Amino acid sequence: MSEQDPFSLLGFPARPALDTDTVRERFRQLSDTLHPDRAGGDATRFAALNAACSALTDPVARLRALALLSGAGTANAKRPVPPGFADLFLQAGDLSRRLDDFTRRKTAASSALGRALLADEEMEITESAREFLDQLAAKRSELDAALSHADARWETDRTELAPQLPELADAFAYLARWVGEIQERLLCLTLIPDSAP
Amino acid sequence: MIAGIDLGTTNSLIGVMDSGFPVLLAGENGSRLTPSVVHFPEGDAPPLVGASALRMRALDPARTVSSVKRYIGRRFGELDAAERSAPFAVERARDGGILIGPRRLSPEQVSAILLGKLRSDAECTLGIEMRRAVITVPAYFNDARRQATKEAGRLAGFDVERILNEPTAAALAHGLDRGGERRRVAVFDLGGGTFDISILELHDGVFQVVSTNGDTRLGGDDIDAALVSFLHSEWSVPHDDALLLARIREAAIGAKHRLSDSQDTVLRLPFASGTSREMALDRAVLENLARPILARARPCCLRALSDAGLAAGEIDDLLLVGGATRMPMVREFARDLFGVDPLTDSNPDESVALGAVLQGGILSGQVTNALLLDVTPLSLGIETFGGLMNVLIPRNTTIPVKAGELFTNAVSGQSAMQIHVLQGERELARDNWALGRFDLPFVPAPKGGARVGVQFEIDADGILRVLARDTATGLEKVVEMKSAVDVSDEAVERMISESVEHAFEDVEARRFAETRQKSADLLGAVRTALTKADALLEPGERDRIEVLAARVGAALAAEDAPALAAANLALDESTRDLAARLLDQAMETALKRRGIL
Repeated sequence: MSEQDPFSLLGFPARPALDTDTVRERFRQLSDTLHPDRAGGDATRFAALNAACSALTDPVARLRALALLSGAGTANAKRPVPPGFADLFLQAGDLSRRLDDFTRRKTAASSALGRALLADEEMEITESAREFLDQLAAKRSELDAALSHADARWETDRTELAPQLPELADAFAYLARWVGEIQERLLCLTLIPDSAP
Repeated sequence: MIAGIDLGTTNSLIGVMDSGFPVLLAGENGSRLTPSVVHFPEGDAPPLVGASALRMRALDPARTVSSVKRYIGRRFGELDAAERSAPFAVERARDGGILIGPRRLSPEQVSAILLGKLRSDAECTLGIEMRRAVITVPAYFNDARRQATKEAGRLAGFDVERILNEPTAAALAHGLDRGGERRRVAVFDLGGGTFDISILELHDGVFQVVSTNGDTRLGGDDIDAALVSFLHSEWSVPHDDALLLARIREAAIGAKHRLSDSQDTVLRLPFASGTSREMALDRAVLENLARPILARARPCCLRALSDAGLAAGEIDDLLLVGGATRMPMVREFARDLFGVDPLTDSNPDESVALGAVLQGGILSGQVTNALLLDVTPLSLGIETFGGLMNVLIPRNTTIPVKAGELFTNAVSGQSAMQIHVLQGERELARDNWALGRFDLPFVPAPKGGARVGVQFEIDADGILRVLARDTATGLEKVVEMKSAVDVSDEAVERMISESVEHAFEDVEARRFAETRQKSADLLGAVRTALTKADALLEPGERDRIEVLAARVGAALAAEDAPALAAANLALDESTRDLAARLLDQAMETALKRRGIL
């Protein structure tokens, strides 16, 4: 569907890095006149604005939109796991399975004593999960640095940089997915009360 | 003029903007709260609505419908046993929907009677015709329940200008006078039948919902039911006496309300036979009954916080909404979860209605310093290969929103493709709510040659619209979805009725099997703990525990079900201290490992 790109919709220059708060603030300001609740508002234009705001505040969607705009590939292309990510990929899978298994066992334990006996293991497994999340956060900082670097060089080297965007977007996407999966499992674990029903 | 209506499980309210301020209107008996109760007299006399119908509930329960909101927009197949055995008739409609009460009306029709009453009372007070309305719904209502509520409004003769989420409405009512500072607000809304938690960011008059969660089958009604069932067994009254049951319920509700202000109360029930029953009830008893019910709100709140990317301490204001938040234990529960004292300057019964009135003011242009940006509470997706759910619009996306998806033919010459639209958070398609199915036609083409774009739109009411777009002509057409009732409903229903029948057959056997399983778990845990945690035991504790464990063993051998349950309970209780010490030890070990201790 041919729609305006998210950058021009919200009035930002098309570039790799944008400040999230600034984007949200612009969205809020524009909502004040374009939201369908306002006289002269327009649901279609608001929905487009809304989608643009989501895209620009998420590095994955923003980089993919920028890649598309620069003619550097589409979001659907099949690419291998980015270099340096294979190890994290395995770790994420392994940790997810361990968390699932532990959650199952803790849920099945039907007494306070039974659950308390699992406490040591729970501490260990949540610690490994947090350590892994720290690792992912470190990786994310690396990506953020790469992003600012690309952003700083964007004006002058965009033809060189554009082809690298899809891969950078993938890296952000993998990280976000793993962080989401581990956090979701940690949340499920905290939702089990210490004493059984 | 646009009316604002809070269509509640227990009470409903209506109001309008008056000289720039939201004002709620009193009904015929002088109260702003109209009980959401409809009584249908014998014959075809017009129904009684509100306070007069409420008075009939204890006298003629079978002809008096209350809590209709529990049923609106649902399928008969998803009702549980308690919902099917209401004091009034609850039947399956031919299309898989629900018919209730002595006149076998749909929940929409009964809700329309309530809305009609609010409307005529308001028209009477104001002396003008009311045609337009904003109606509130629980934030966690799905598409079907929003549509059904909108339909109820239409049946009552309203142009429904907006379906508004209750917690968002409450935030709007509360936050208007708070100037420009940026605040994060949690709205904890526990009503008669539904629970919502919404987290908002307030900034410069824009009320932006960040995340929402809830349980559309959790509310004060459940606490009433627990109390009724407790009184029932305390008084050992017969199970089939509907009239007595109805009167116990009214007495229980009264006692529950009194216990919000005092520590104890006396429940009195004059029996028809001339004798009467009396019982002293203190707050602790009610709280013990309510605790497991309230606990169901915890995962919703933690998930809402997690979705908002916030920790409990990062909430600035906690706003309590709904009558059930008058219970001191509910206030404490919310305060503990969010780490902030609840605001006390708003009326938990009225803020939703006031917000609905204000939203009416926004839509009519009378209120210009506020704007709501709400979200869709549930993810929207379609079924994809392998029966998985493919999310197109994730939960907590700001609405109105659109998502496009391009479909192509999988085989040469394929004439159509069936699209199954779903709402929910589960990975497997069949675990989610089926919104409907539609057939997408393809023009004859080789494999991958036919392409149709489909646009999924969630409007400001949180209601879905599907548009198919022909890529050749660019023409868009609204897709009519077949309701998913037809097939899947019967399957669901069969499943439920089978399990219900099953439960009645061997309830004793199953209970004993469960008790035995619990014994095995407990004895295993005790054995492990006594060897592993020797150092943690206090003098004499081992002997005490072993005596109780032996008692469990003896009851197991004797296959004595009641004795086994009692022995389990005693052993479970006696090991709780040890469990707490084990938890402390685990915490200490972990802290040492990290070098903190």
